[in-house]
Amino acid sequence: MYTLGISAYYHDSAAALLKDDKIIAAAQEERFTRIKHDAAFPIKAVNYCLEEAEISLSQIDSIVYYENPTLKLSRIISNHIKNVFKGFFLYMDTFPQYLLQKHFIKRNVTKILGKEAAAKLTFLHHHTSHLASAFYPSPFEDAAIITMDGVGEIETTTIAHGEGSNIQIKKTLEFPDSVGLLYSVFTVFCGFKVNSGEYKLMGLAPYGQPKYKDLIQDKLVKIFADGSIKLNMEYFNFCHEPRMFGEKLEKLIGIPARTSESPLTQEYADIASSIQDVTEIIVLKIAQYAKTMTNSKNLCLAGGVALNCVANGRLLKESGFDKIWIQPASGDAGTALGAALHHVYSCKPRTVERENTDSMQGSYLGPQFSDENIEKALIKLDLSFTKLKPDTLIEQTASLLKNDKVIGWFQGRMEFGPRALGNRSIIGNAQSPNLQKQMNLKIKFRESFRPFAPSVLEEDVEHYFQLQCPSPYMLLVATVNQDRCLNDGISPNIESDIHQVRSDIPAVTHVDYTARVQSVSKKTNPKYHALISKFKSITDSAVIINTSFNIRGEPIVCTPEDAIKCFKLTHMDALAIGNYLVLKEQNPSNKEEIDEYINSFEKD
Amino acid sequence: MNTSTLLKKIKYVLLYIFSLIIYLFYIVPVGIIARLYKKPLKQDSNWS
Ligand SMILES: [Fe+2]
Repeated sequence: MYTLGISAYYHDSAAALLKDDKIIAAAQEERFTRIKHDAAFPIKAVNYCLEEAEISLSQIDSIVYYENPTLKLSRIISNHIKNVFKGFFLYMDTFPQYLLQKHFIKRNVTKILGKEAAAKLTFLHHHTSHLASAFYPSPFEDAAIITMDGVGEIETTTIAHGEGSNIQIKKTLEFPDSVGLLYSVFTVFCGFKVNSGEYKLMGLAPYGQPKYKDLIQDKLVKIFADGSIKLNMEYFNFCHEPRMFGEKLEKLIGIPARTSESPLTQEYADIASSIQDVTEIIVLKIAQYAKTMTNSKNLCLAGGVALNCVANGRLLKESGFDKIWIQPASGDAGTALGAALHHVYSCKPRTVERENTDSMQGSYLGPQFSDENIEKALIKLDLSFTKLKPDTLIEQTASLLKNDKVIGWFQGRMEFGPRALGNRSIIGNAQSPNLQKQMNLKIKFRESFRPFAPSVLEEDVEHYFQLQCPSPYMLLVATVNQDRCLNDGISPNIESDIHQVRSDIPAVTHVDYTARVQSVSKKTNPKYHALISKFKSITDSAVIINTSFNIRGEPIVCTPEDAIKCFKLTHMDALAIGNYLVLKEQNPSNKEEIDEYINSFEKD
Repeated sequence: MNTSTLLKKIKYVLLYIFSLIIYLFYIVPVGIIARLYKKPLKQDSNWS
């Protein structure tokens, strides 16, 4: 039985395909259309899923859409009832468009996939899709499940209990009281974009002091002892205006909101630190409440807020749960998978085959390309290259890494979710003191304060980080072991302390001596594991830099053509693609082409 | 202007008129009534 899950029309449209309860394929539409966070109907992702399974659309038994448009419509109308008169312009601006494009999903599916497909369409709830994506692929028979995002149809946070194939919702928090939206408000306040800038805000937070924490708790959000929250809507405008906040919030904070690309001053780092702290307090309280409600030892997380890996790191240490599993595609893309899984397990018992093994297959659920395809692309794009044996490729790549070269690493199936996990990655030597700056400015063309994540051999995690469990999806932040740190005890400053050497793996050590760890297991990614092992054998370091294979504003590369283009038009030193090694010195790029490439993507 | 563009434009206008009707004859009256009956603030929890 084939089940297709679809999420669409908000941000990060995606499709996922199951054969019975096995995940065959999952991918975000943005990777194919090359439009970051593409919200269009994921027709290309659907077609890819069908290709991967080698089936036609008519062989699909069920199609599940990740949310219920009628419930969503009722929330939109009830919001306008609550904000009658002052929300008129927002209403006239958005409501007709909503009806035209987003409400009549069955009609849209009929138009795009045909009548036969539309007849197989069912709808699930947004948060149930998130809950399913968090629990069903997890390695737990029994777990508390928490979903936190901006807003689903009505819910903004849900606590549920998962047992076997059953998910029972215990508590919900409703719009507009949303920890996700609260975080987004401050993302915009600090000059970043909603739905992509939250990550930057989290990276900025350690440069600041939580000076506004009390103000936020006193005036903006009431946090109850059980973790539920109430926003003071006097300061937020998102219910009745396209802008998330107005002058009243700026007056309260005491500084104007930052415009994007203007200099980042210390005050904004302090704001980031404050909202990060408040978010952690809320998330921790919700988790503790979920524990008392469910009495479970395990916790599963999904929803956009679950991508806040700093908060996840604290949950791991302080929430009282023994184990935590976080869906790697925690944003709305993952709901496509959740919706499909929920459909399957609504009529099938679920057993966890082996504890500690989830069913995400490392999240390597996207397309892969044969050497033949890669070679064709290399020839088409006019590159000089060398074909190597797999072992030689690993040896030569490791040796380039040792010499502080920055390498595009394109292997196997593309990752599902926002992180590159070693198949569509740009990698570098974490021991290099200059590489963070160089990679941010010359390769990613992004803000220089942004940290890079380390990939570390699973068996060596504890030698580097204070982390006692694997973190395969780069969703946990952990402190670098103290014996590796060069601690000067002085609070960091955003304007002066960005590029200090803080440990013996400086390129991945953030300003607060933490890192967003990816543990690499031999079982899920043998080739990437072999590369880091080889690097370890020649440098004695089991850690490398891993950042997504793209530039700022560009979706992560999907095809060999995307990768070659990105390699050609950035200052990367080499590209290891399939069994081919391409060197920059043999393929120089010119400045105009690079500028044109950078400007072809809207800055995120 | 060809026929399909014209039809599209007519569709848009009708949609905006329909939305306005919903606003004036549903959202406004219900919104006014809702203002008269404000729910009491929850004191120690906001979970549903
Ligand atoms: Fe969501």
